Amino acid sequence: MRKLFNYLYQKQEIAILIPFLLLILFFYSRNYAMLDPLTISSILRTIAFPALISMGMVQLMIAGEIDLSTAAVMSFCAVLSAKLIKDFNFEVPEAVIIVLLCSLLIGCVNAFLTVKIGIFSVIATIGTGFIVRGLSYSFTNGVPIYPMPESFAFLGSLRPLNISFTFFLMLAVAFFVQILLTSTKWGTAIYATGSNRQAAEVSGINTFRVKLICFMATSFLSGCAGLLTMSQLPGTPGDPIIGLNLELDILAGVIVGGVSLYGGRGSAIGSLIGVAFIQIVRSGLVIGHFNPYLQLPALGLLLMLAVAWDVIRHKKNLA
Amino acid sequence: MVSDNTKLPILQTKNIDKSFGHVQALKNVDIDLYPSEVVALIGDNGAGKSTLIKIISGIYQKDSGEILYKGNKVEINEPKDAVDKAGISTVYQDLSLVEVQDVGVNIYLNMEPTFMGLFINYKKLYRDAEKLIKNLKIDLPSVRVNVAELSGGQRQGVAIARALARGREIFILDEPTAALGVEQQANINSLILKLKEDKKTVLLISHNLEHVFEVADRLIILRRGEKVGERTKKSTNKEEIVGLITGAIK
Ligand SMILES: Nc1ncnc2c1ncn2[C@@H]1O[C@H](COP(=O)(O)OP(=O)(O)O)[C@@H](O)[C@H]1O
Ligand SMILES: [Mg+2]
Repeated sequence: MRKLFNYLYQKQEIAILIPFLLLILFFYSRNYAMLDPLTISSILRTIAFPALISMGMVQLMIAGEIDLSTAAVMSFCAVLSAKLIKDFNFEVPEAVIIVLLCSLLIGCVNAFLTVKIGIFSVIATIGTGFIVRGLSYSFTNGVPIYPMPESFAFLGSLRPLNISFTFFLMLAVAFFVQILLTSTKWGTAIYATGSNRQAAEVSGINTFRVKLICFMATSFLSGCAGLLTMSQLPGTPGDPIIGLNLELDILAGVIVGGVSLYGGRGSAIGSLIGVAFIQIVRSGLVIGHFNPYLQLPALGLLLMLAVAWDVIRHKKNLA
Repeated sequence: MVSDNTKLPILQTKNIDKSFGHVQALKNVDIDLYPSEVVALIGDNGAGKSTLIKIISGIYQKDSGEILYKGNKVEINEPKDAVDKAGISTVYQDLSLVEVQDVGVNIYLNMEPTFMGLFINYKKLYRDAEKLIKNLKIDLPSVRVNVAELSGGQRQGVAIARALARGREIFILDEPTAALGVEQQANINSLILKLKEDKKTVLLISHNLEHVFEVADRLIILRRGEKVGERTKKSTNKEEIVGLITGAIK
């Protein structure tokens, strides 16, 4: 029994499955539609975006940094691609490439502000987030740009198993990141960077490079998520409100899934489960006939609980 | 002078000066280190011991003077230079290990054996780590336990194993036994002697004269930033050393 407890304490990504399943049962008891195939596929479609981005975020947070500009980068990339195509007559593939390069650039800026200048990444990325979200509003005057050429909606129109292309892409990325973290030198370098930067440096790990790549991966996946969101929406609009508040779902998700704010801890699988957990809460509140405005408070509460747990665990490990 | 000068020193400092504002922490400090020897750097609090090893390790910059590795001048501007240019490994008890990772991964961090340069060959990694730990006679439950679960002495051992795995020749240990119990101190001592047996050089900082006399071949005494003496263990005794440390003997 004690052993089991210890195991769950060590493996938060497994432990979290217990409340996760209980929660599903609870919402199911409120409304049987919770486990309806239609509901499930809709939930999986929704999970795909935050989960995709969380696969960058988990690496970044293990490396000891954080990115709160993710959702803003999503909307920026969506709007910018629409703008390029509509107002500047770029072809779809050209626009996609330019936009994704921009997302990488935003990651570089975040890394530079954080590591080279020394601004806390929380603050630095809130700043870049405001800037790019603001730019998406100004590009559009707040009105979505659409329609796009049909080819833009191609990936969005793919719906294997009635889910979405993005979902399966996300699963592939999650699998890849899990392997990276557990079985490659890149993985050990990230954990070392986040756990003890000096030790990593002394071992010859370029921790700036590690953080740079993690920031870039997070922004890049955010950019992809923005474009994919757009491709799945009717009329493929470059809408500045794409991904609104999603950075909180991602943050809460990875922390619920066992990633530590202190760096050096976490897994891809855990993050995936954590993000799913958050989405179950969101969808469950709607399906279970609760006041839908309770979603944000519930999310905030979950985030606080998860962070509190992280802090307590960290202090305990230090003692 | 006092040591086996038929060999070339592996590391030398010449006329090292270092000031912090008005405090002159080091004045004209010359030291020579030879292969296969254990040298103790001793002196009162504030004598400049830590400053000297931080300069050698690339953490502080000297104001003037030279550092020579095997007779050639080297510029040590950052910790990486000390490692790459002079084979120096400074073992800090807490700074050099990654708590969340296990012993094996810590020892081979960033030099993990891989399959096709891609996936870490954990089997080989743990096997090699085990061999190393066994060879150094470090007392550990397993090379798969996380460093967070180890005692101070065990961490010290792992840090040394880590440096050894990286082919370092010069080991600088700053107060390695400060926080350790008697048994663990004894373990560190045998570890230091093992390093010497393997033809390594150990520069040891310690307050504990008992400890120093057990393992060191030679003692270098600093007082207020100056080298005030250098003795082989055979040619001195504790009274003389205490006199040098306190300034009673000039
Ligand atoms: N980073 C620093 N800034 C200012 N003064 C320092 C610094 N490091 C050491 N000193 C001063 O240099 C002198 C030597 O210190 P230190 O090398 O730490 O001595 P030891 O290790 O022998 O106790 C002391 O007077 C100390 O106050
Ligand atoms: Mg000191």
